[in-house]
Amino acid sequence: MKAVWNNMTGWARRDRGWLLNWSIKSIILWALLAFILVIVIMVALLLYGKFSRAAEKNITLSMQQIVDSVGYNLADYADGTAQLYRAIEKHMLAEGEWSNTEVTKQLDIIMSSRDDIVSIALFNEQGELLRNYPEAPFSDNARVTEQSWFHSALRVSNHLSFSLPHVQNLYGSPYKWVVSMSKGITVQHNGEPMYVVLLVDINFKKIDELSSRVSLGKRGYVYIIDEGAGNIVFHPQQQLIYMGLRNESVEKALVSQVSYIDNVSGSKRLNTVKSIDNIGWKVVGVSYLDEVMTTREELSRYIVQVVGVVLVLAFLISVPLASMLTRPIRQMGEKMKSVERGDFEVMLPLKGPLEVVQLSSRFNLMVEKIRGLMHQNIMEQESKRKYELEALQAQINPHFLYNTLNSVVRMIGMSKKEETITMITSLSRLFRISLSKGRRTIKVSEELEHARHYLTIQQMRYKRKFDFRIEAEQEALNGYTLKLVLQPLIENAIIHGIEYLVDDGMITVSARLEADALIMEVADNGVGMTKGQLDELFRKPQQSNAPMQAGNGGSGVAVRNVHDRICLYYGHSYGLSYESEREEGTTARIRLPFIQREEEEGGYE
Amino acid sequence: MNRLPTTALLVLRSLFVLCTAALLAAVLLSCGSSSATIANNQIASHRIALVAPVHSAEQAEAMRIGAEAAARQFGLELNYAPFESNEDAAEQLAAAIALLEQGAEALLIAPADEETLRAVGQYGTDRGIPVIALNDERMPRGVGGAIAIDNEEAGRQAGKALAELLDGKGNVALLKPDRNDPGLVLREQGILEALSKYPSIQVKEGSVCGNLRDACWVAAKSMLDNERLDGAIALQSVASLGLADEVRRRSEAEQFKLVAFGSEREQLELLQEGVIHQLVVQSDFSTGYIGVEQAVSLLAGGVIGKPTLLETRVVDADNMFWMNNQKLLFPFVH
Repeated sequence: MKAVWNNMTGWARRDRGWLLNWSIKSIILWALLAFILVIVIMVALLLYGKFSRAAEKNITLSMQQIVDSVGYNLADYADGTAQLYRAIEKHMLAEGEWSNTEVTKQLDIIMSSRDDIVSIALFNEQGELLRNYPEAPFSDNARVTEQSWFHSALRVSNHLSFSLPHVQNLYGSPYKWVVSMSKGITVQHNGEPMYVVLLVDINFKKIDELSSRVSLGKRGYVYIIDEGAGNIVFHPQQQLIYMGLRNESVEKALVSQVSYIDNVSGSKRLNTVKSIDNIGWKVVGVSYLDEVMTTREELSRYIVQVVGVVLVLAFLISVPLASMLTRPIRQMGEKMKSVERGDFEVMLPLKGPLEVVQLSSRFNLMVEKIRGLMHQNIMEQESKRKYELEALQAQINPHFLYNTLNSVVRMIGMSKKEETITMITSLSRLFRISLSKGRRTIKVSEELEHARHYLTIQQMRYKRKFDFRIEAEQEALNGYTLKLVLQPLIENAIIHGIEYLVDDGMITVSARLEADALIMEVADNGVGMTKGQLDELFRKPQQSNAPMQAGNGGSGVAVRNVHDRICLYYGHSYGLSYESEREEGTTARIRLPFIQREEEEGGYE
Repeated sequence: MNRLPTTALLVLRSLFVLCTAALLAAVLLSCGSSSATIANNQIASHRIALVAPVHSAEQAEAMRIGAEAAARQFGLELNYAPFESNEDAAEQLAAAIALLEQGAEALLIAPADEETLRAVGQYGTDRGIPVIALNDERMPRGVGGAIAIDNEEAGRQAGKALAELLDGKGNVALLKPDRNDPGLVLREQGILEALSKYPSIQVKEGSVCGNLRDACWVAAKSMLDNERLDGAIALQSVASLGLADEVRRRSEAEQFKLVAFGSEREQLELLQEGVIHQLVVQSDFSTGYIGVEQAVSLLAGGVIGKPTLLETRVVDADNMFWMNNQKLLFPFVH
């Protein structure tokens, strides 16, 4: 249990120590910084989420728009060429006659208005050329009947079909890439119905350029597939696909209507689809999502920058703020330091924040109190010295000396040699113990010895008017006591108790231990004291500097002196007390702490 | 007693403050520098140089388109050096060195000869620039990658095509190049291997010619004069043109079966006319594209190690306009 407590206090101390290691300034500074950091990071995260979602949405949207616009352009272009086809058809076949100069003139006009028409050709059902424009030598290896545009014209009559882009092989070099528009039409030729196929080849370059110029991000691209079979109409890497070096999974694009995400060799791609209905193609935009991620990375980098700047600003602001807040405390610290150096006259100004004012006023009170205590301490020290001096003076009371020496002279005159020796010996012992090398405390045994000598002298002086007894417990003898505390009490007992007694007096001096306290008593069987007399003994003298008076009056002062000295040395729980009964006697009791070692000498001696 | 810890504490605290300030500064600096790198990435991309083959403008153009498609996809800048028909190895080497001096970070070259490739490879090694050989299997020191057709397989395709044209019997000969190219040697080996499976086919003494059409015509003439041949294979496109000239002159296009390599416009005409009967075609677009792909991989610190071999395709007058072959034979939309 105790160990646990110790541990806990240890923890508490360490904890407090850790906190104390931080100045208030740094606590304010770091707390402020941490708070700002948390707020900024939270805001940054929220903004990041919001922005990156918005960015992704924007990118998806803009992709859709780009692909849509490619689709619309292609559809427009297809519409335009379809109209052109109808115009050619009208001019060439309306009359059922295609060889006359009128038709040639019309075709001239149409051809000169459009530069993307490569050639116009009219075939019969067997694939034989009826008329072509411009009139170029027709290739022998053309194999018209095997061409896809011819097939689709025969398959559905009177329906304009667009072929996949292919190399035109009707005329030999230059082999141009064309998209063939063809339609099977029944016309009245020379009065007979005839089924003909009108072929208009338009240059694929326009579509190729339109598609290859579209860029979706850095790596994104657009490709076009044929909605019927999924053949690739245009792809920037068409050759690689044909060589099997690259794959474009058109299956998903074929069935998808808006957009989907696929994963090609580890990178996620967003595919956006747009159908071109009039031509039967589908535009697919491919963009790489990791480019979107790049945008996100840039955003996060930007946010980190902002957080950094905010933190630095916060740092720059919180440093002066923290030092401003802690300035009064530092000032207080300065003042305290000067108190530490011994200047007790400092006063803290009562201004600043509430807590600081409170603390300052407490501090001022405390300094005042310390000042008071110090003053009191000085006073006490002075009193001690004074009392000691008084005790010594009491010891060498000229009155006592005079009386004693008178008695000695008288004894010598009466030739009481033995008694004279005893008296002189006692007197000398008395003074030796009084001096006791200047020590303030002496052993109880010495104090009792001192009392014995004093009593011996007084006994002789008072012509054996009283007897005395000294009793002591063995343990009590080893204790220490202030010196010269018993003598005034004995003197008091003789003067007030025995002197006026008719019978022989009896003075008992005793020392014993009573629950850690040393009790010394001087008891007499004298006349006793009234309550008033007892009170008189302890009353503080009117004038503290009045020297001890010789004779009767002096003993009262000496008794009080004993009590004061004990209180000063050992505290107010110790001291002198009196019990008295008229005609029965008086007991003076000294209560001291039981101390078994000599007290250190005071510094002022 | 209190003095020392207080001082130590002060020192510690000031250190702490300093460290934090330094950290903040570092964060700011790194932010600044990272944004700078983004900007750099956006403005200055890698520069890659493509040195075209000599004596084959069409092939060069197809390669360029392929390389450009790849460059666009990888966000690179492509510098291209084409050549006139009268320029040769020396001009090619000079052009390659010039492109490298201009700051190309990787070089694709279809070398005129081994010497040129070796020199460019050495130059690349000295400056730490990756070099990739196109249409060449050789990888001398400094050449980090090579893209070529599988010549042996292409040879086998040609040999088989000729044998089938001749119904497995007859006399044939090869019109070979006059330079020592391991690719062409492999091509010849492939042809002979395929022909050896037809016991009734005799391989007669062929002839040799260089990069000039007239020279090849002369060589073909002497070859046809020496032997009565039913068919021949020309290992290079120029040789096939010379050979076709001679066949046409003799008006033997119907009987004489000619198989050739290449996809030049004139060869395609001859194919349609029936003078050349089969063409073994390679995709130069793919060569250019894959070349750039490999350059990117080398620039990123990758290692390629061995040559990349591409497939070839046999094309005749019937299937040349098929969807799959059109793009191979006519790569440009014009």
